[in-house]
Amino acid sequence: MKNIYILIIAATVALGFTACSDDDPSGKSIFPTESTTKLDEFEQWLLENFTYPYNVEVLYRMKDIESDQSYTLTPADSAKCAKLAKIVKYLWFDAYSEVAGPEFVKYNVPRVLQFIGSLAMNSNNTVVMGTAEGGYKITLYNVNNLDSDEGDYAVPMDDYDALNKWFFTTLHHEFQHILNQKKPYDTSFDLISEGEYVSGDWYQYSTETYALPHGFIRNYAMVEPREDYAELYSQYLTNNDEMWASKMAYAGAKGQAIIEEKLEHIRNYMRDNWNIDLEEMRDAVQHRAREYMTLDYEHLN
Amino acid sequence: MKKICIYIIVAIAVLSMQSCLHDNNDNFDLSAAERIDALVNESYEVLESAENGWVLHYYTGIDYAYGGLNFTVKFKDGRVSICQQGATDNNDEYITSTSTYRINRDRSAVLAFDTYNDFLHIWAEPDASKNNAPTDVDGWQADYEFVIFNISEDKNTILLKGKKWGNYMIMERLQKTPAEYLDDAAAIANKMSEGIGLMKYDDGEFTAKFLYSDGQYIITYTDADGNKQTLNVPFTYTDDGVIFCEPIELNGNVISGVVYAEDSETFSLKDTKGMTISISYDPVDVFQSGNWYLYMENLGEVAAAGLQSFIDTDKEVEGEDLDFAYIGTSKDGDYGFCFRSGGRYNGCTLFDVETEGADVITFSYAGDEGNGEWYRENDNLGDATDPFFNTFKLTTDDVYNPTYFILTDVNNENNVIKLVQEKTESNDEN
Repeated sequence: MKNIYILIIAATVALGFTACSDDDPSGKSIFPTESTTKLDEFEQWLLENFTYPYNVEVLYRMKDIESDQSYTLTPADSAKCAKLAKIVKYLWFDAYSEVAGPEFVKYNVPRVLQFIGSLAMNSNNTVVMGTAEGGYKITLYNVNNLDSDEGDYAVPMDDYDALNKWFFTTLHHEFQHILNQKKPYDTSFDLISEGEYVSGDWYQYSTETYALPHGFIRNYAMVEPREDYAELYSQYLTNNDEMWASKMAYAGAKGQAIIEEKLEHIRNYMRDNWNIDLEEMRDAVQHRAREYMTLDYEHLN
Repeated sequence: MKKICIYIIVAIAVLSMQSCLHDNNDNFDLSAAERIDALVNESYEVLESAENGWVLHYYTGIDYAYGGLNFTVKFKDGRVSICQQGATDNNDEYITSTSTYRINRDRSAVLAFDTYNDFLHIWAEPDASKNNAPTDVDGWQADYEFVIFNISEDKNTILLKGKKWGNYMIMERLQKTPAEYLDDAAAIANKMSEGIGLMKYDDGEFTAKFLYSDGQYIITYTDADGNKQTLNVPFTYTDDGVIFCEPIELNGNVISGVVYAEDSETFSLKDTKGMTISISYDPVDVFQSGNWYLYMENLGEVAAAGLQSFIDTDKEVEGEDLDFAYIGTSKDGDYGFCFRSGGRYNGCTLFDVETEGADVITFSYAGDEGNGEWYRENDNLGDATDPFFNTFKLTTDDVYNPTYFILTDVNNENNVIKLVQEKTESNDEN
């Protein structure tokens, strides 16, 4: 009797396994893989110079879902993007490749480099110079002011300081964040200027009269230790000897000693974790800075 | 045990009584994604099929606040060539700015102008030093990504909606070259902005007045409940008239624009009732459609004393000369007593206006604009404006081509004000 019940239960359960319909996928993907537009000459150049060698996509055509929609932005001018892409490759990608090898670049640089034409302006009169998202994407703003000498935000091609200010300190800064995310730095760095970080009030402090004498390379470095770390790294690589010396003059003996102590942390970190000699890296950036204007910016080659 | 087994069987049986409902009938033949895909492909085809391109009636500002202008846009192989009304070179040829576009798959198909175009994107530029934008960091609140809302059956009209700022915009297939269209629209603009002050729309007992004001009509009417209503309707010119930023409804008639007619005082409306609109020559309407300047020698004793008090106090307190003052439309498109002091300080005392018949008009105080409040509080502006807050009978030399209006206070024979059309050096001295 007991077995009969068990058989009935089993039969009932089996009959319950019914399928209702044949809702199979139609077979057509909703994510077409064929591009609807042909690549133009610049896009082909980007493929050959960024995507194939470094597995990096350069987003120069605006996609609102890729940009920070809390800001009012404009797309980048494609001709200016071509110039910036050439400079970025020479001064940044190729500099790391020269010192650490192409494999280092391929494995560690962000996968997406985004160019935005306008500034990202805040209502408190500050502007965002660049952002990094989780080691995946770096966004550069103000691209449409490249090769211009008009206005407060102009970036003339031959003005290396302006290029650094708007693009390369950002790139090195954000890249240091990415490296730190992959291999954390020694947190004893955080103790050097403990208690002096000011978070969002950084812009109320002068770099020359306050930040440098207190051992911060720039007022923005006063936000928090990890920003201090990345900003010092980027400024040290990109500043030539003359500019670095002028900043150390503002810093004075006390400020300079603090900055040097922080730099020593960075030297050790880059050597121990990434096998990169900081001075060699700086030399590579600096010699390229002296040469980048010899490139042909009127043709893609 | 037996009972437990029975319970289990019953429970399983009940749970197995599932219904294979086959009433989940699809409302569409294709899935949402496939329909968007089809719309994207259709949009590419339609956009690039226009041999002469399209005219885009483009608007900036939330709720069209900063008005509209015309672009012609021609799509070809992923690139777009744009001309803008009035943007010509030294040879009067329209300048073309070329950039890229694409149609993105989003919640609908989205037309994105995705690299910088000198004509289109300058309006969105957040750095106000580049485009004199009226906002701190939002430029002219201008879109360059548009949801494709509708493509007309004849494929000649596309309704777009700005993705960030939300304005609807119409794109029409060009039947002539971009230069021809822009030239024709410019000619229409000249004819409809000069010489046509106020138009009157009559529909039975219902009357609405259309006052032209710098790219928009200020439409006033009395609704069914007897309340006075005002609509500010920005528009762009077409090659045959104007098209409103959005259709409006007046007394059940949906109106989307006006068709200009040469040498006529009556124009057809683009509407659902087949109505017309006519230029009004009632003195109250002609008066409101112009700016009429105060000139001390033309003012009666009441208005002259008031204006003199303002002039004297302005000089004494601010150390400024009053450059001019007029009754008319302010820089912001509002109506009232407008003035400039010290060569650069503009202000206005706003008027509420009531009319009776063809020639009786009543003004009342409706606040201040610009620097008006400052001069009211500190420089006796009120002395100059108070004589206007009365009911006047209007007379003029020629309603078809007036050079002056005389306002006679119906309750005070000493309050007579003559206002002249043109600003003169004599006015400037005042």
